[in-house]
Amino acid sequence: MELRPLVLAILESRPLYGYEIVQRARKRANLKWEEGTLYPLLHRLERDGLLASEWRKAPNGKDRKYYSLTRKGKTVLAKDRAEWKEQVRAVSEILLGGRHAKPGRSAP
Amino acid sequence: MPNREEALRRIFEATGVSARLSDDQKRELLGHLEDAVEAKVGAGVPEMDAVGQAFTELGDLEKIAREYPKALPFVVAPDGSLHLWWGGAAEMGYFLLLFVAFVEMMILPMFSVVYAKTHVALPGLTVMCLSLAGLMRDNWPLVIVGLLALGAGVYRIRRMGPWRRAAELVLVLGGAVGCAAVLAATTLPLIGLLEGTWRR
Repeated sequence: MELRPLVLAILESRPLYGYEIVQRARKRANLKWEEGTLYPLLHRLERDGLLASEWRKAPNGKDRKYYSLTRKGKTVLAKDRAEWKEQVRAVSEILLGGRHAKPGRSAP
Repeated sequence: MPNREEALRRIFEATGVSARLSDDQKRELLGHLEDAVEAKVGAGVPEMDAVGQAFTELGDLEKIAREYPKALPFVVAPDGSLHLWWGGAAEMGYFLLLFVAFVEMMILPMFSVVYAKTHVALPGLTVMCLSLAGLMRDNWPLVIVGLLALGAGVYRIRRMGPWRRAAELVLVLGGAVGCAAVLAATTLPLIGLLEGTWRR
């Protein structure tokens, strides 16, 4: 599963640090992955200009690296969302027999 | 008895992977482990089990270390835009600008005396840099204040969020162009001078 759009979407509301991102993903979508792989991804997204980061105090008083979406990150997230919607629409078209297919109706 | 933070750091160092990670990466991964252990202990898991679980959930450290992007000074993103990815870029840019200011205020005026005595034809770049040198020397308190303010800005640059990369790029490019300009301004007339001597 592509993690980039999920991470960008999680960071859309406010800056978060790595552990918080993992917890949000778990809480909102019950997503579990090798947590450590998030960090190279965050660094790549920052390198590509989609995220910005800064070290600051977390509520527990410890320094944590907070990531926030840049303008470019927001643009990429919007594109990812549009692509995702298109994919869901295309798959629904096949599986449910059209966009307006009602639950329970089988495809011809 | 070391505290939890220290104990985690020691376990992490013992994996052998930490040597391949930057300080920033290590600090971030250790922070994650601390938070994970704290949450598990808070939920009633015994400390040692919590540490084991936190490392397991973090995943294969070898793989994580391999997946980090290479720390190149400049990276071109897929859309063709240029990004700076270099921990000390701002500091490097600042030191380049300090060097430019030093050459402008201390070195170039000495050379101007030599150029005046030898009546060598000065290129436009040298004339421009000499004018700037005069202006900077006349207003040296302002230059000092400006450089100190810039230093404070560099210190704060990590908190600039989305503008940080742009600010780093401006500092490094400004410093590099400035250095190239003052070095060229200093050496070009000397080359002319040496060529004249050699021809004679």
